[in-house]
Amino acid sequence: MTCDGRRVLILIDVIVTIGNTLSVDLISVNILVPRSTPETRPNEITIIVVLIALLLLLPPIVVLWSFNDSYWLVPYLIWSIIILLSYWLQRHLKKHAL
Amino acid sequence: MHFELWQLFLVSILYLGLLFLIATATDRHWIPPSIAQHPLVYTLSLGVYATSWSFYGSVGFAQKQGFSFLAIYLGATIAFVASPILLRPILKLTESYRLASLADLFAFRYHSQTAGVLVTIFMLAGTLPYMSLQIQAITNTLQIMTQSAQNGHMALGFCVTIGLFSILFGARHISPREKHHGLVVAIAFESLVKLVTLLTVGLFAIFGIFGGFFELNQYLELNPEASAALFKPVREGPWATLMMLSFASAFLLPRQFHMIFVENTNPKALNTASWAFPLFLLLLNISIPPILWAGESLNLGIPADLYVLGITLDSSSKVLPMLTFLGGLSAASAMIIVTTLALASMCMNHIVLPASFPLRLSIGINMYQWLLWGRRLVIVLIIAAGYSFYLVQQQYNQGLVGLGLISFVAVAQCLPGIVGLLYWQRASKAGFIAGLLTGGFIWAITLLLPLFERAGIIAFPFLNIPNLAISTTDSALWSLAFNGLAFVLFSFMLPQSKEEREVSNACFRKGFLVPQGKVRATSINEFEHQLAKIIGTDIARSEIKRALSDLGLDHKTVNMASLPLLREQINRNLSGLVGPVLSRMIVNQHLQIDRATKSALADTIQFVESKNEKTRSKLEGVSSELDTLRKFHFQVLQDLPLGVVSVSENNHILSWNNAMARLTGIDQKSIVGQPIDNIEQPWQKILTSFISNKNFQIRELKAIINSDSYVLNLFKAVVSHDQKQRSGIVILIEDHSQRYSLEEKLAHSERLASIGQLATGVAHEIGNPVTGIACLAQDLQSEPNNSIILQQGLDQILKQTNRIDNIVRSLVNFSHTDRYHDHSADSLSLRDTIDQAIQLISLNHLSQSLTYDNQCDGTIYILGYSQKLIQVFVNLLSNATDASSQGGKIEIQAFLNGQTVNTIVRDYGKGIRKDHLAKIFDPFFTTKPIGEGTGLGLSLTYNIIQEHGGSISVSNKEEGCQFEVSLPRFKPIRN
Repeated sequence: MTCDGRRVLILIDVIVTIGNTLSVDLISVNILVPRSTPETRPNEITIIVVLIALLLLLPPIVVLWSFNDSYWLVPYLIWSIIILLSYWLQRHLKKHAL
Repeated sequence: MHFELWQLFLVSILYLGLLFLIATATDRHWIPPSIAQHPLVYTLSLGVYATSWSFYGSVGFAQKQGFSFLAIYLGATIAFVASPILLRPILKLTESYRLASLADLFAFRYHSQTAGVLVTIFMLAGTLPYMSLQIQAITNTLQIMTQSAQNGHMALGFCVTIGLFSILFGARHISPREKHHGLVVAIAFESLVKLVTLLTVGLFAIFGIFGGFFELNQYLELNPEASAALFKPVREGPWATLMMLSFASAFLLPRQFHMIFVENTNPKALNTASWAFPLFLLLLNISIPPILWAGESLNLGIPADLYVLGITLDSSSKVLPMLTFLGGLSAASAMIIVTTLALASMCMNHIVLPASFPLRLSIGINMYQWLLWGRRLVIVLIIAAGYSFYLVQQQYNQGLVGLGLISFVAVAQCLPGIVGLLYWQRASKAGFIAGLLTGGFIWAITLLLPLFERAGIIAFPFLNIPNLAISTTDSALWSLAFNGLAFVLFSFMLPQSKEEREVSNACFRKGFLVPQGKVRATSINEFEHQLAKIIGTDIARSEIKRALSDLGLDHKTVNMASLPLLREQINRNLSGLVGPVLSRMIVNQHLQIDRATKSALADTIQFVESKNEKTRSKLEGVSSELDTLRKFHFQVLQDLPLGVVSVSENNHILSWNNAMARLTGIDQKSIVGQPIDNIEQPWQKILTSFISNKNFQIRELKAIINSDSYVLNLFKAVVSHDQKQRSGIVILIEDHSQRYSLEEKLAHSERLASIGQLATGVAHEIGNPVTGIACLAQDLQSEPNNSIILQQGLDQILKQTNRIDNIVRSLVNFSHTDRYHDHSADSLSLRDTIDQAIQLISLNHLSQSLTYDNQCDGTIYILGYSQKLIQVFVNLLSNATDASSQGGKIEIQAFLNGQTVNTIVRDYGKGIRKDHLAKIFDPFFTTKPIGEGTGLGLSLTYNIIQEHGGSISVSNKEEGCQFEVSLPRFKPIRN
């Protein structure tokens, strides 16, 4: 596996870990909202997705994929992940009629 | 390779002609609406975000700032990912309140024309120079492709064509409710052309110049600095600031706002756009690095901004450069068209119309046409201004190339205002204006003025403006920081006005704009007359018709309670025409509200209900719980088996439940909100008289409604918000008609039973006179010529027949089915009533040995129903007769007691057992052997007396017992 490939895997791992942490923090531990209700759930999920997207695009995570020897398509891969997250968000909201 | 100018001109004309054709085909439904209004078409139309700066300039940006150029699109991506909490609420506001531009949105939220004017000026200042860059891009392209000097006629021709297209397809309607489908599809087509062109050029760069992906990778391995140069600025450059700027620009740029919100036909399309638009941007930009490397590898000797065109001109194909030219033309034309339309709407609503308000239109002028042509004129002026900037730019050469990002920084100054609009309810007008002025000032002195001075357009000999210049990103940070600070500070220092707070609540979905006060106009014609004074008769009629249609009403169903709703709807519809501030002014001036008069509760309730119906799904938390509780209480009232009517202080019907609708046959929808005088008779009379009656209850009210007899119990209570203020009256109506009908049947049966008991006596009473008549007849037969005997005999016969007639008449009167509520109560002589009862009871064989002593004064009168009261006394005397022993006496006395008459029926019989006294008036209670009594006599007696508003009591005396009947006294009027 190339250096880029390993880095992408590490990145995905970091994203999943952050996502899980955020989900736990925001939904179960209730950092942002005191109580999750069907009315507030779409907002909560959207905030989580936006935060994940921002984490991917803002320092320090951005340093992980912007080394000089990174493959030139990596930024587009990150972008694709965000688009997939947005697609999933819309499907989720539609599926649960939120 | 080079092209002739006429070739490019021809292609341009053909391409723009194709755009006209697409727009016309859409407007005439040659393209089915299912395609024209498809979410993907909507998404592509948002591609107007990518201008010629993106199309050509991204490569140059990538060369200077590496992958930082992606931040311009990644910020927009974040904005669309956040659409459920960012774009959707704005879309709802713009749809609900018919807001046609960003200036409208701010003017509405901050309840300020100044806010609208400032935003308009700011957008003009930030966008007009940027428009000129689009014209510049086209002429630069022409210059390179024809390898000749710039041709001013081509730029002018381009502007004229674009202006014509904008007027024909973007200013076809004046209201934001009428969407420009043709424009949307044409802009979507232009986005598609841009995308296909850039992808094609990218593929050409990879396969045509490098020879394939493998060769490209080889080039990158051989030139690692090429790839490194792209990544380095991401770590070290203004990546985050650029993302923030593009985040704001994605929905605040006038063209973006117009396409996302104003031209949106289906809110669900925004869901698709939230992932499809970022995907469009990704595909649009994926070709940029290969094109950059291809241009560098070819050593084209032109600025990197023109590599997109340069590498295609290096090919042998003539199609590829022409396609690239069309891509650039698409990017520039789409930007200018949509920006012009958006700015025209802002200028009309916040500069032209406020300056000419009140609209001095004579009745003969059609306001729609006035607005339409006004908007078209503004479009022409904006494009002319853009062209003028272009000429200035030409004169001062390349001094304005940095205007793309500068425009983004200008637009970003609205970001604190949007944050306040969506997430900070306390944000005030003062805060917004102060923030905008502060941020705008910093933007102007650090970016705009230095740029103009560097370009030589302006000069400040006394001030060294260029020294104030800082980088675009630094300026963005500083201006936004101070903007936000001023926004917060001034919002705290100068809090919202009452009107502003109402709008703020509406924006935060915590309520809606409830009209305060009462609409002065009393009819729809008055509305029309008032509106006609400013917008002309035809337009007023048309707007009212449109508002009625929006509310699902028509001239017939509209009522007083609908007028506030109608006023609000007219306000919204006019907002789409003349902006929220002017529409409010027109409505406030011409459809006035009397604020001194408290708004009719009926009106308010109906308004709130109708709004609540629409927003119920949006209620959250405690509001939702309270709404559920409210609905439960409302349903309890609706399903209550009693008629419930609530009437406002000004006698309008507030509620009318299902039982009331069944009882009256009047539908709830048709009556709620109506004045009480509009109710059909006799209900209007019943309710009005009861409301004005000082008594809080009326029992056994008898009425004939549609030929049916009704017996009603009415109760009322005053409803108050607080101790001092009365809000209305609630009336409960019990329908006892059915019970009364049954009781009537029972009473009739009881009377027949009484007659049955009297049968022996009746036979005896009638038999005696008949026997006498027979004897007299025999006497007359034996002495037919004796005139004295004849005369005496005939007299006796007549006397006896009269006696029989009296008995029969009494029985018939007593036994016939009562129709008491066919007539009202009469004044009755108590003595005569009791005499008639005695006469009937005398038919009983038991009565023959008893004495009935009627001691009542002949001057005492009571108010009641004769037959019913005779039945009362027959029952009492019958019981007394049964209880008395032979030779006994029954006394009837009466005496006045204030407004009542007390009648005592006293016997000297065996009395009533103590344990029976409490049950004696119970139905079916009897002490007589089975078959001799029904047990209903005294029960009916009790009910009849109650019905007369009287009372009855029984007590044992030393000898026998005594019934005391109390009845209302009647005072005959004496002349």
